[in-house]
Amino acid sequence: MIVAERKDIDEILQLLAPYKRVLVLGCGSCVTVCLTGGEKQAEELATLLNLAAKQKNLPLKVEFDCITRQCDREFIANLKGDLAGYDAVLSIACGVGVGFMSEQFPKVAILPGLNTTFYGANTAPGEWKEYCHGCGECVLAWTGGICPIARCSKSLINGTCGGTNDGKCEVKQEMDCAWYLIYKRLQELGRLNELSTFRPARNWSKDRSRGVRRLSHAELAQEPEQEEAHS
Amino acid sequence: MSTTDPVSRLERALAATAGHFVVTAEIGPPKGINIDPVIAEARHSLSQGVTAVNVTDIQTAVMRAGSLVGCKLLIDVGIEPVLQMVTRDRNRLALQSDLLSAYILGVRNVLALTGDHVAMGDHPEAKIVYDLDSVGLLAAMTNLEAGHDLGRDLKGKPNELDGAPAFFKGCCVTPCAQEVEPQVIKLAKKVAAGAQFVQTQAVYDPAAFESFMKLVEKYGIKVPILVGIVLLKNAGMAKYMNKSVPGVSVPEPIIQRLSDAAKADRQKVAVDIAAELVAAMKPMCQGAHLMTLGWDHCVPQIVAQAGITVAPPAAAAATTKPAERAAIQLSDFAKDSGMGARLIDGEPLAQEMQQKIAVEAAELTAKGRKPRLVAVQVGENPASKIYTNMQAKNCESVGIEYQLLNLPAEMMQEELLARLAELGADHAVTGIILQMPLPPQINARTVQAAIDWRKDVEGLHPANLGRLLLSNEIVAPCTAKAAVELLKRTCPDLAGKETVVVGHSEIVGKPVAALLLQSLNASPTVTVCHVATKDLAAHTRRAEVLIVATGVSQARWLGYQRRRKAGEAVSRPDLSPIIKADMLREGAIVIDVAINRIPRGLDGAGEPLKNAKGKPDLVTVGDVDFQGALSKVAAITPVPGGVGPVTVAMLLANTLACAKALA
Repeated sequence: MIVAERKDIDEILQLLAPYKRVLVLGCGSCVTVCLTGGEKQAEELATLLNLAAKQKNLPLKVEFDCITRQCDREFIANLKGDLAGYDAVLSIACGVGVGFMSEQFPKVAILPGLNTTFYGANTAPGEWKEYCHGCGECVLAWTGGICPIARCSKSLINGTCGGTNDGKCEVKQEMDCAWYLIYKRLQELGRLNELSTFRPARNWSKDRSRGVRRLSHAELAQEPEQEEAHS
Repeated sequence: MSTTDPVSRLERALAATAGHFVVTAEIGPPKGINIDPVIAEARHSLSQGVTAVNVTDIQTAVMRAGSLVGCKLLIDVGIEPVLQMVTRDRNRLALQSDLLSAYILGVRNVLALTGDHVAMGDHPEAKIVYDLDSVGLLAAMTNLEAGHDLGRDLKGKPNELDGAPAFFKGCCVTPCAQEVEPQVIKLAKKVAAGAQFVQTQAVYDPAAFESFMKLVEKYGIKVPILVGIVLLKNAGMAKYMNKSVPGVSVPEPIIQRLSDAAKADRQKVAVDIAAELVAAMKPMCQGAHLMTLGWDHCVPQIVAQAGITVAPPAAAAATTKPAERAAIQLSDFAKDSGMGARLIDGEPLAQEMQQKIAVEAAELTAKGRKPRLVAVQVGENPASKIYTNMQAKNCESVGIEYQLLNLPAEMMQEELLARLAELGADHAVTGIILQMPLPPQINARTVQAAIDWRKDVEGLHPANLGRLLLSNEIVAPCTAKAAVELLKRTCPDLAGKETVVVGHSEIVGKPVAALLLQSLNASPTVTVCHVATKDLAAHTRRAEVLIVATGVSQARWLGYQRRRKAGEAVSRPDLSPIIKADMLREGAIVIDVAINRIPRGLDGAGEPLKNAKGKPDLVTVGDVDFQGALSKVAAITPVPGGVGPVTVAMLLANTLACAKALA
């Protein structure tokens, strides 16, 4: 799932400064699960903003709504009101939702209320951790299912560096050394030979180096949309 | 390992057949543009006994000047660098490009590192790169050597390079990591990817290092390993390393020694600890990498105390018996004479230098830049003949071409100047030496200054003497350099030592003082005495180091003879040494530069005593009462056999230095 954190309230107020009538729009998917962008959080944020507006004597009036997914046309019909009726929409979906909604409502100011942080999973009550980097060339087969791209602070591919510190990464004491975990897992699996195999320079072009990435199933393809120019 | 010829001195020194224990050191470029002091200090402290010097690459992710510029500046002062290269800041285009640039600038040793994360440094918000990891960088180097980069052309074939580099490729490992096997597995991969030597992270636990080396052996890793030592300057630093540097653990007794040391003794304790560690791990590996964090001046002392013989190793094992009366710490360079003081023998050093010169001269010759020394002699002189014959022989023995240019004694100064200008313009000539004496119509100083300074192998041209004062000399007067070199070998730590130089000539006294004052923070305290000095003995008696170069006995003898010949009334000359035993300080180091050729004694008529053949019985002595000194000082140079042979080698070294600078 995609994990995101809410922006600081002062930053949000600053984003909304030019607007009077604002809708906080939640998303019922990932960000609901990680407790940052669901209906409940949309309501809380709207209340908080109205309160702040009152306190600071701002002409801001905030309502809220939530749809199942902001990254899917299908659910737009479920919006309670017309977005064009607002000066701005504060989307608390992930960046995908903000971007997709902006494309669907080109005349409405769609603003981000969250910082989208990573692809992760719920590892403990109230805690989500990164597991995947979306690098475009999965290596989990030979790393015991532990991703060095996402979980090694340097994204190394040939094993541990000198900064491994009693199983932890030197960058942060509370962060596991991914290559230590990989070593332990492969040892357990009797597959340490994977660690000894030379991994040549990665093909980072599948990461972000070539701009917008796209998935197309040829059998389902229709005319592609006009693509934005990227270099 | 590479089966081709070594590409660097470091590779040659580490070759299995060489069998030397190799020492490398490390410098860090400054945060700013003032790199001169760093290079000057390296030049002062790391020119001898150290095979190569690493230059760090934005170490600990703290922004500073780059490794490549440091390497280039080291090359310029005759020190072989190791380029450290981290993959944190550059992608594969920049890494490969910088490798080509480094090779073009003369860098041959490269240490491939992943590099500390930016989170550890002073720009934690920077974007990290790590396009390649250290293994990938080694593979990229191997690839470049094969004539390809990591890219492909339009047909999908590897790109061809227009000229391929050849490196001596190194890597790092952390021997004392809590979990050591993953380190060794990765080390094996680095070696498979092309690594030819290893410099380790700091080790303070010889037992842990031993088990690491066993694992290395188990994994079949055969490349030479240099054990890393970071000089612990104080207890606080040791504690910090334990807390904050992964894979480094300083045992409690070492920390205790550092905290027990009085502030004044701390540097000595730091050096002692490093030397003991090196000595303890020496039998387990092929060399040591000394990371002194700016304390370059400690390196020679660590090398000496660790009992490392400077390559090539001396035939006999050095005795470690200290000179009991030594006021200062001596290396093992000066040998026990059995007569009290140790003898500072110049012959082994001269031989060592000549071997090194021969290798480098051959390298130059292979590049089509054969060193060629032209000796200019004006007029005939039997004494000079002996000297030039010897020069020719010495040059020949190290592969330097020698040509004696005999010019007529009546040649005018203008003609001689014109000839020197021709020699200066001749590209095949890389060195010029003017033989003394010159006929009276020629002014030696004028002519000396007319030699192309870049070919002035005696280092007497005003430009060269000026460079000497600025500590960026290519050459320096041979005798002075020889005296200082012997002194440094005997006593690596000269910082603050009371040093008295007797004689202030242009060829010895003055340049000796200049050479001794080159270090910013490790120079001795130099006093120069001369003919106008009021109380010479007062100065020499407090000298921990005494360097004497007057030749007074010889001058008196020559003066006496001349005046007698001229029929003048002249009293018997005092030919006894100018420095008597009672003028020496207990435990001093004495470098006697003078070579006095004088009669063993005079008879009742004031004539020299005769030998069995009826000829004057002449002896060669220095300026110091040698016999008297033996029972008083810690170490002394013999005359002959001390400074003399090194001076001869130094002329060859200067000749090579000129040729290298011109090449």
